[in-house]
Amino acid sequence: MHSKLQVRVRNIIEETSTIKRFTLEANDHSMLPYFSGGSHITTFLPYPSGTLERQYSIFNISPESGLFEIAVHLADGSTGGSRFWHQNVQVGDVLSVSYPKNYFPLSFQAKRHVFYAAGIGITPFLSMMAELAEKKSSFELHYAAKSKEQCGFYDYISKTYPHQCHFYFSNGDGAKRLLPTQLLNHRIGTHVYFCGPENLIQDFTTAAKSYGYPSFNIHAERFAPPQKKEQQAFQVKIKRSGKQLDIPVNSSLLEVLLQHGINVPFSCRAGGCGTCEVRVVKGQIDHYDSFLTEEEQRSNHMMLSCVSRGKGRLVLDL
Amino acid sequence: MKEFLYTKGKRKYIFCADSKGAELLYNFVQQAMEDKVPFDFMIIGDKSDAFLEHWYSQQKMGTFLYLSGQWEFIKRLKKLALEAGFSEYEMQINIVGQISKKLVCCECYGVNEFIDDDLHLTCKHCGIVLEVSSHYSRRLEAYLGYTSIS
Amino acid sequence: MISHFSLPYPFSDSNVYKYSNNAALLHTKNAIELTDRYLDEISLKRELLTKHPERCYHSSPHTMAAQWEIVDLIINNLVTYYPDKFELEKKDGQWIFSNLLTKETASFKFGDRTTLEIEPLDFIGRHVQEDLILMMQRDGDLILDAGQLCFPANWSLYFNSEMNFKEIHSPIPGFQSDFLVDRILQFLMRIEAGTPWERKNWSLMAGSRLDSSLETFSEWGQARKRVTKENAGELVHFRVEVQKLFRLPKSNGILFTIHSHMLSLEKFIQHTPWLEQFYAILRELPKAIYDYKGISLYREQVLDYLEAELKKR
Ligand code: HEM
Ligand code: FES
Ligand SMILES: [Zn+2]
Repeated sequence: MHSKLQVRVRNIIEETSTIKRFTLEANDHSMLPYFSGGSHITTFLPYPSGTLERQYSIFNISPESGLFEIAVHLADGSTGGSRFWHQNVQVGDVLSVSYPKNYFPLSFQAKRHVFYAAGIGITPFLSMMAELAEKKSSFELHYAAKSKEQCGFYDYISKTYPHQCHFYFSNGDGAKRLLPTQLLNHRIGTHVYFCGPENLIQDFTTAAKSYGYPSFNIHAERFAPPQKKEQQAFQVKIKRSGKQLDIPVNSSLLEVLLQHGINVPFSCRAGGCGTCEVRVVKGQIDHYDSFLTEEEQRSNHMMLSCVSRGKGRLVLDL
Repeated sequence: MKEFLYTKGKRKYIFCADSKGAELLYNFVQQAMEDKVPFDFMIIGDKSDAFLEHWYSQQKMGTFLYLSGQWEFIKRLKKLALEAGFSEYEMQINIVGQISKKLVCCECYGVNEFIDDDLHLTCKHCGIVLEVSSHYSRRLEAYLGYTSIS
Repeated sequence: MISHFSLPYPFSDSNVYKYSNNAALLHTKNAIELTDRYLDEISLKRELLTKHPERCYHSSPHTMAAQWEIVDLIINNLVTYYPDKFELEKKDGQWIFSNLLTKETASFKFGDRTTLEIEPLDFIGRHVQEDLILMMQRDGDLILDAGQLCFPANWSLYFNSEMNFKEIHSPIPGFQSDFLVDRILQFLMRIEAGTPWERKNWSLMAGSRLDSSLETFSEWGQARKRVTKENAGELVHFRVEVQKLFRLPKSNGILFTIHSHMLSLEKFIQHTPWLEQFYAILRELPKAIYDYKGISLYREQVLDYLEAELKKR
C-alpha cells in the first residue's frame, strides 16, 4: 500500500574495511523528503528470488540537502542485504526505497540525550545528533568499536562533536570498555538510547531498569523483521459456527468472510487502520499489516483480516 | 488519581512534604530504611524555588520523588520537579485536604472556582450559566464549562 | 448551483452508524480542495481571524519548523493541483507565492519567520478553505500544538490546545470504554510520510453557519428550537467534514485538515438513495450519539420530515 521513491546511487564511500556509505539522490532530480532524527527507510533490492526488503537508518552528513545516506556493514557470511549492497550496487544504479519512517524518535521532554552505540549501531545517532545540534540541545555519545580503524565515521564525529563524544576501542593498548555502569552517572531528565548488537541492547536495558530508570527514558532501535511476499492459500475455521472456509491465494481473509455473510467491519483494506481486526484462537499468523505493534503481532492472538494470512489453518473467534 | 504507593527498585528516594503531608510519608521512610536505599526527607517550610530546583536537578537517574501536602504546595513542587527533569513516571503525589477546581467559561474564557458537587454555576465574569463537565485541560488546569440554550 | 453532487457522502454500505476507525487511504494525496465557495469562505475566515484571534489560532513556540513544513506541503499541493490559480517561484531561498483568485502575491524567505507578517501556519491557512491542525508527536503521544480553526463543529481550539489525542476525544460517548481511542491513536502514530489518509465525519446543524464555535453556541444553538417538520428541509443542514491526515517527515508531526461542507436537507434528499439511507441511519442512531451530536432537540421533527418525503417518492 505504501508509496515508494525512486533513488539513484550518487556516491559510494568506503568508511572502513567493512562499512560502505551510500549517498542516494532522487532519480528525477527533485529533492528527497526531509526526515527527523532516528528515521529509517526500507530498501527494496531486486533479487533473483524476489524483492528483498531491508531497513537502514538514514542520515545526511553530505554538504547538500535533499539526499539520503545509509551505511551498510558487511555482515560475516551474509547472503542477504549487506552482501548485495557491498557487491552488487554501483554508482548510477536506480533502486526503490520507502519514504522515511521513524520508530526511534528523540524524546521531546528530555533535558539531555545520551546515546550508546556499538559498531554499525552508530547510524541512527548520526541524524539524531544533527537534529539536536541544530536545536542546540544537550547530548553525549558513547561509541564502542574494535579499533579506531574499524570505527565508522570516527573522523566526522570527532570533528563535528568534539565535546560530546567518547570512544571506546576494545583492541590494542589502553583498551577501554563501554560498560553499563556508565548509566549511573546521568542526571535526572536524561533519556538514553541504545543501538548495536542485541546483547548490548539487552545489557544496557537491564542495567538501566535495575538502577531505577523508568522505561519511558529508555529507547532502543528496533527494526521490523523483513516481510515475506509469497502469499499462500490457507483455511480458517469459525469458532462459533464451526464453518470451514478456504482462502485462495488471490483473496484476502476479509473478502472471504464478507462473501460468507460474516460482517467484519473494515475501512482501508490495506492493513493500516486496524478496523478489520479478528481474534485468533489457534494457528500461526503471517502478518502483512503496518498497524499492529510488534508485540501484538508476536502474541499471535489477533490479525488484520484485510491483508494478513494464516500458515495452514487458523481458528477464528467469530 | 493513582494510589499513593511505595515504588520499589529505585536508587534513591526523595520525600518532600509540608507540615500537613509529612505523616503520610513515615511508612515509606521506614520502608526505604529497611531496603537500605538512600533517601532525603525534607519538610519544605520556606525553601525558595531556586533552592528546590537546584536540589532537584542535581539528582541522578533512578531517583524517585514523593510529594505530600496541600494542593498549592503540591502544584508548586511538582512544577519545579518537572522543570528540573523529573517526569510523571518518577514521582508520586498525595494531596491533603481540598483541591480547588477551576472551570473555564466557554464564552468569555473567564476562570471560576467550583467544588465537586456543583453541576452548574454562573460565570462570575460574564454572567451566563455554565454546565460543569469532566473535559479537562492541563494547559489551563481547568475543566470546561458548557453553555446551554434552554 | 449547489446540488447534492457537491457534498462528499459520509456513509458506507451499512445502514447502521457507529463509531469506528473509518479512515481510508487518500489516493490523490491532495490536502486541499477548492470549491465554488472559495472566495466567500476565505474572506469569512480572515474576518474571524481578525476579530477573534484567540478563538481561531493557537501555536506553541516549538512548532515553527513544522509550520514551515505545512507551508511547503500546502503550497506544493496548490500549485500542483490548481496550477491555473496558484503560482510559486523560488529564487535562492526566496519564495514568491501568488494567489490568482485573491490577486495577492506574498514574498518571503522560506524558513525565516521574520519575513512573514504572521506565523507560517496562520499565513497559509488564510489561502485555503480547510481548517488546519498540527498534532506533534512527542514522547509517544500526539499533542495539538498548533491550529488555525474557524469552522469548528462546536468545539474550542482555545480549550483543546496542547491536549493529547485522548484528552481531545474524551467528550465522545463510548470512545474510551472499548479501546477504540487507543486503536485510533495507534493508527495515527503509524501514519507514514507519502501515505496520507482521509476520513469523513457527519452531523446535522440547525441553521447554516460554518463558524459553529463552542464560544458562540448560545447564539447559533437557538435555531435548534425552531425546527419543525415543515421547515426542516430548509433550516436543517447536513454537515460533512472531510478530514485528511499527513505525516510531516521532518518534524515527525501530523497535519490534520478539516474541510467542512454543508447542504440543506431539502437538497440532500433530492438524491433518493441518500434519503433512504439517512432516514434509516437517523432512526437507528444510538441515543448517546445523537445526544452528543446535538440532534436530540429536533431529531423527531427531522424524522417526520424525512418520512413524509419518503412517502412522496
Ligand atoms: C489527529 C487529529 C484529530 C483531531 C485534532 C481530532 C479532533 C476532534 C475534536 C476536537 C472532536 C470534537 C470533540 C468535542 O466534542 O469536544 C472530535 C470528534 C471526533 N473525532 Fe476526532 N480528531 C482527530 C482525528 C480523529 C480520527 C483519526 C478519528 C477516527 C478515525 C476521529 C474520530 C472522531 C469522532 C468519531 C468524533 C465524534 C464526532 C461526531 O460524532 O460528531 N478523530 N475530533
Ligand atoms: S481494513 Fe484497515 S486494516 Fe484492514
Ligand atoms: Zn463567562
